[in-house]
Amino acid sequence: MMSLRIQLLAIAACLLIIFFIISLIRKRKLREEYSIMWLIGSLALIVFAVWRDLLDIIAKAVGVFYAPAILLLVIIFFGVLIFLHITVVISRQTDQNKDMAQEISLLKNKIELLTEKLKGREDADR
Amino acid sequence: MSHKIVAVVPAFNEEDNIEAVIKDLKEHQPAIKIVVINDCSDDSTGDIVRKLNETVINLVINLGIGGAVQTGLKYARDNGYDITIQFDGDGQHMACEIEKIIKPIIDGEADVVIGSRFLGAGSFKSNIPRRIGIGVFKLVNSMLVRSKITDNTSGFRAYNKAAVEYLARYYPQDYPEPEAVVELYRNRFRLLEVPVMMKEREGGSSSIKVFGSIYYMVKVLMASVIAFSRKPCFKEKKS
Repeated sequence: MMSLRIQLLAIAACLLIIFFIISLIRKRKLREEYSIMWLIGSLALIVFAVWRDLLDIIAKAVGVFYAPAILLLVIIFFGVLIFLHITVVISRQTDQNKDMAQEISLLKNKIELLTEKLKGREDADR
Repeated sequence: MSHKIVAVVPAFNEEDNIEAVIKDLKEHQPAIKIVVINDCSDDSTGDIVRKLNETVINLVINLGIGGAVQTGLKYARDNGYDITIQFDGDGQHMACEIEKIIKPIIDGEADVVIGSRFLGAGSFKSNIPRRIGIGVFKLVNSMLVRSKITDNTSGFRAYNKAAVEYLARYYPQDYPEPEAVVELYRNRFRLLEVPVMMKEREGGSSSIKVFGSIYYMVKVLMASVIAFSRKPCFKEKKS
């Protein structure tokens, strides 16, 4: 059984992470849409820290002999989910980046063309 | 009836070849507009093209062959060209063969024409790993698109307006050619292969490195199969 001390420590650590995430959002360093995953993950950990027996209940239900392994499983699960989410975000940004680079390059070409035309007209006016 | 035709020439560090490529195009197809897409080269590729008084679009960041070609397709779409030709900047394609790939489009027989090294009499020399790769693409893509496509990696292609309209929006990146074949087929474009001659590379090096070739194979095969599983997302405009 968990001692009270380690339980309090676990809750404190989770709260710290949540406050850190919220402060990042407040400073506009983290967008809300990307914070959800982190918040859900840390809330899940808090639930396990507060409700001590949950781990044992789940372990018995799914037939895991060593209950803390469940905790590790949950953490890895959220970690993988967050990684997946991040790669989706990167893929989208790569695409947007590409589209923007193409648009800028095409516009630059157009501007060059227009500048040359304008120059020609100014020379003709003189 | 004359068609407005543009040749999209992707080029990355091709200062040794690009001038010859442009002269070849000018000599055989003087009416065709040339647009070189300079994929952020470190050398003087862009300056050479500008000195020759041809249009060059200098990409602000290096996008790779897919992104470069797509930029040209966007240019063709925005400027209302009837036919768009894809023509490599490394000198392996021959301007005298352009007639063959645009004719089926002018005649309305196809939406996309691929110039193939392996169709017909001409034999094209290539090393063994590359041959294996090309053979696998041929097998897989021919199964997927239900007709024989012998040269899936060929970058010598011609498109009509509808195909350009589609590809300007969705063009595969990285190693785009085989995947594009499947995408086009899935979106009900009529593909046609015609035999053409190609030259051996004159200078520079192929975009496909030896060590990356396994990654290349896996990536392209996966992309082709996934492209096949996608729902068509483009209603073809009948011209």
